[in-house]
Amino acid sequence: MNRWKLAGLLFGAAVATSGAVILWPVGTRPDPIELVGDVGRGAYLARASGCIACHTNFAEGGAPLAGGVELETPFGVFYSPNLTTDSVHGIGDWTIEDFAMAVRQGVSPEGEPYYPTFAYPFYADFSDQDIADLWAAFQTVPAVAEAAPAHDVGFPFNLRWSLKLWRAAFLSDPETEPVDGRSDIWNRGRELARGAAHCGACHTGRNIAGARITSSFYAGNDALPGGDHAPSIRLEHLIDQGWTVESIAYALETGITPTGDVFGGGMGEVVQYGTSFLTPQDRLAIATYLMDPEDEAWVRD
Amino acid sequence: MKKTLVTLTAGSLLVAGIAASHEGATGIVRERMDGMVAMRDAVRDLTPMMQGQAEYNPEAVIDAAAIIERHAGQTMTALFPEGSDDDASYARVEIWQDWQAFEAMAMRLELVAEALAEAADNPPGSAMPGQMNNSSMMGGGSGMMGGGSSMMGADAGPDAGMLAQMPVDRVFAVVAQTCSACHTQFRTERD
Repeated sequence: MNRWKLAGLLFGAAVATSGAVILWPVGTRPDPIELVGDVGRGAYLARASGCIACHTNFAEGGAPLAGGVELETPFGVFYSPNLTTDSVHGIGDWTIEDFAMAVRQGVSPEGEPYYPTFAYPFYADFSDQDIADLWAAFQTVPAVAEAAPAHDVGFPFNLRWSLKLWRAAFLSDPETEPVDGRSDIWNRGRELARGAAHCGACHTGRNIAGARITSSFYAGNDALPGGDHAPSIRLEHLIDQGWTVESIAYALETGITPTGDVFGGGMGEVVQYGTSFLTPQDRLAIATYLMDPEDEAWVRD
Repeated sequence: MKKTLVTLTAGSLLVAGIAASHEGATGIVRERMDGMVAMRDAVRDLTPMMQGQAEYNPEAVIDAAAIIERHAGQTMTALFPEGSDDDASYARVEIWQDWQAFEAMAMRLELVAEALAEAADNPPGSAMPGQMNNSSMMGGGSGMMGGGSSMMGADAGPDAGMLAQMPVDRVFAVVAQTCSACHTQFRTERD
């Protein structure tokens, strides 16, 4: 076959393949959620999950959940969206099922995948009650009629359908469910650390596609957005740095470390806008889990 | 005596850490690092008391608060002249881009450190002053507003008068928040 026919064939195959991926549906419409949500529990979960921290531009005095927080990555600059009740610029026209699919599956109401800069993989195990509570809390956020800036992402990362391939390759279960034989407080710590509190989002190394590397679980990440750095939170490193269950719980409350230093960078924000709002028991739970890690979490392939 | 021994032991264990991360720093960069370390050690020394793990000693609080106050305010800002972010420094260039915010935080630290000394008469766990309730402080957890955090801008949050009436461990937490707010915005995290 001559080279033009070959070129044409290859081109046709490329178009057909990308067309197939573009049309490949992602996300499963959840069953209707009719539970009554509790605003207080929802606000608490929103704090624990980092919703407020990521979707509120504190540095510029932005309104709660109005978005616009900048995240500079190797793939481009992302801006957290407006999650207020505004029906045009926020999520005011969403249903609770839209919200459930977005938070737990990372898929928009239009069926488009979100970029993994949104930590949705950690929220996959939220119960319908969790979703109902969050939804109730989000209904109390005053509408802000201003869209957050659009992501500044160049080719080819601006091809959203390519995220479907990313999801197929890298999306995995957060494994937040209780482990038999472990204490209640340890299991609560596991649920929070691997779920809502999404420690691994910063503390686990990522590959060239921006996906977490399982064998780097909690080993730290030197290349965080904005040049930030997350140290290892593996047991041997925690011990080496003088951490104990008590001092971790205290640090999650106050930001103060065993040396008297105070967290800066992203972890400073985690405490200021997130973990300082948790109950002492929940902070103790996270600390308990970190200082007694489940076997082989980072040895598994 | 025992306190001195504990402090010396802890201090000597940390020397290696300090030396490694402050290695190569000279002049004004070194000077301000030393100031930060002095404040850090003051915080470290108070922490057991604030957590209820050591017997409460108001004099220790006053001494430590004085150290923090001494290194804050204009003493601190004077050590950050334009262009002093060399390779050894952890200072981010944002300090000079947002100088007003940086300066406000340094002044806030001086204020809250002074309040910490004044609150030394209110041991950890003592009652909050009547007009405030728990949920208005950091971490009250009510609602979806950002308002629970007192660090939106360095001058937000309780004033010196209110702080002085609060239990000392709450004021200590406000001091820590002040340190953290500045580190979050203006310090490179590279260790």
